[in-house]
Amino acid sequence: MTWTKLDDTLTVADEPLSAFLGTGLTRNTNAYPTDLSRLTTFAYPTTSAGAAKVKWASYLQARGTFVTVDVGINATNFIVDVFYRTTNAALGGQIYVRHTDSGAQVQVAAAGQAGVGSIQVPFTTSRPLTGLQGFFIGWISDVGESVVGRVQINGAVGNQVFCEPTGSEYPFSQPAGYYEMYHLLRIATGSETPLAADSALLDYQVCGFRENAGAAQPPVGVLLVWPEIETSPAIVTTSTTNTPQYNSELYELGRLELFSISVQVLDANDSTVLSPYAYQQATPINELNNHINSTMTQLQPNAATSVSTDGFLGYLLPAGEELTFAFFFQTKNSVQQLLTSFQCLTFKASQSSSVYITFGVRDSLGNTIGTDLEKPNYSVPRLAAQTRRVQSVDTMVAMNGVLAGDEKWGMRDAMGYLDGRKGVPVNFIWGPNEAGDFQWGQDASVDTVYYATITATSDLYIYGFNCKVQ
Amino acid sequence: MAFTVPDEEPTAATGLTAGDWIQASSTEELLLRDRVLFATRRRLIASLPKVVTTASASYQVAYAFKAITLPSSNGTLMVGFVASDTSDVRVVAGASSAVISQTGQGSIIGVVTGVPINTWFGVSVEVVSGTGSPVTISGIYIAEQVLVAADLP
Repeated sequence: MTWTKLDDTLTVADEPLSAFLGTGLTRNTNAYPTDLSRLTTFAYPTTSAGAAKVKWASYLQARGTFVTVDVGINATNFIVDVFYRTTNAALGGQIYVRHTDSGAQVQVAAAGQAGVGSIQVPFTTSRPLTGLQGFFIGWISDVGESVVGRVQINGAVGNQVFCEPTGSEYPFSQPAGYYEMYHLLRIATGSETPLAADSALLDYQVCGFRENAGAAQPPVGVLLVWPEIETSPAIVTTSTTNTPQYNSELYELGRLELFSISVQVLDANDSTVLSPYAYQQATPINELNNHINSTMTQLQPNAATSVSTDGFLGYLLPAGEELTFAFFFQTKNSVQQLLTSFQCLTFKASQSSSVYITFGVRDSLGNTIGTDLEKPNYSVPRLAAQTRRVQSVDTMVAMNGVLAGDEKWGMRDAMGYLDGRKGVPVNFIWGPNEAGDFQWGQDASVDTVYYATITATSDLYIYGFNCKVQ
Repeated sequence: MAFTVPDEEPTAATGLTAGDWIQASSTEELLLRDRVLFATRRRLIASLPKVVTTASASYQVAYAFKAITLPSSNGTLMVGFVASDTSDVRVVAGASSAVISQTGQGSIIGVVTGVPINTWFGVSVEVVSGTGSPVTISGIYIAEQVLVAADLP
């Protein structure tokens, strides 16, 4: 059903609303959920040459990001378009899309590909969805069939596995400092001491490697793994120089290089406004009027859908710096409020988890519009560092690379499904009734784009971001 | 009366509760809001986070993503951004492209025409400094252009 012009010359002053007109308006209104179906795009910064900066591999569980999608009205079917390539053209993985409220999930195989391309994941809801909805987009890597190489493991403590090359060289290049890896370590079992426990986890994702320089720096090499090496019972010693050593294998994992995620509403149920066949009956007309009013608000384009820092799925907001996003409005006086919502975590032990967060709107020259909002002493959870496997489903390891002051970390800030619940929701309702402050943004108009700014007194990790207009 | 799309959101219709006499003015308000709703509630194509250009005079890619317009789109995208100084944003959408230039600190809105309708297309967004120094672009907002009377059936 498509929108059809209703000619207002069909009525004259003081003439009652015709049943014809009411029927036509009702038909239009009921069709809007489909005719004006929503699209939400999450684009991630690239290198200046156009290569993806967001890359990660996951082995033990699906890890990825949380997004907030404005699905419009009565949405029932979506397409989630993931625009990506893989580091190894022959090695892909599985993409997971999970609706956070219902837990409904789909999973599709994403082939490895050297060039950038899309995979479209269909998603059908169990009931029509309206407004902002949370989704988890996750990734599990395929494992390469061939052994990349072997390392001699001396021992392990926590997430650090001490190793030496099998032979004269490691089976991977070794830049100074941390070296990002996306591999799987299969710890060998056998006659070594101590013996591996029954059903022990022997496969660990290797996220990084660090080589210690100098003769007095045992162990020579450190593999940074996830999750931490099992210790109860122990499967390797805690020695840094233990002999005999475990001769273990490394395999490559499929690594996703992500450019964007787009969510298109394919189908939506019609609204159910009753058709006012008899003009004398005002009640159905009033229902139509109310529905048009609410639809106006519900289908207003968002001011922002995503924020992301270079190389990250979410946004790292350093204390005292500004997170900004720009927006403009193509109609006059249509904006009463900006509803900004996101989840956040603190991650630096040296900073307070009681955070002062502000939200403001600026014109193109930086002048304040309306009144800034403040959340003083807002209690923001601090994420836990990496812990053992048994707790992994409720533990976020996303920020380890950041804490080390180095972005090179094979899992980057990818989070597990339950990690999303560790953050605290932050909501700012800016306004109300600020419509008169915004100029009308048309083609070639100058200084009619505005930007919003968010600041905090501690470093924050922000995800699930959205700014809705109403 | 010529058929138009008001550039301002009409007020909500009144006098439509049970027992009211329904007047033509209420009818017109309903009609206007129906037009404005359809014409202006278009798709947001992308809200791109802040990007800082290099000092180079060559374009650098900032974002690459996929999008799809509404079937009733007129094939034109509006692109607006706020910049700390002179800079250009080049948007390539499908086979169409446009360069939007901002002089000095401020903001500007431009258009990309001829964008595919109701078909997935790739978009690349490139930025360049016009000063020889890095320029901060506080965000880039890309949306379907609202419809005018000529676009409507």
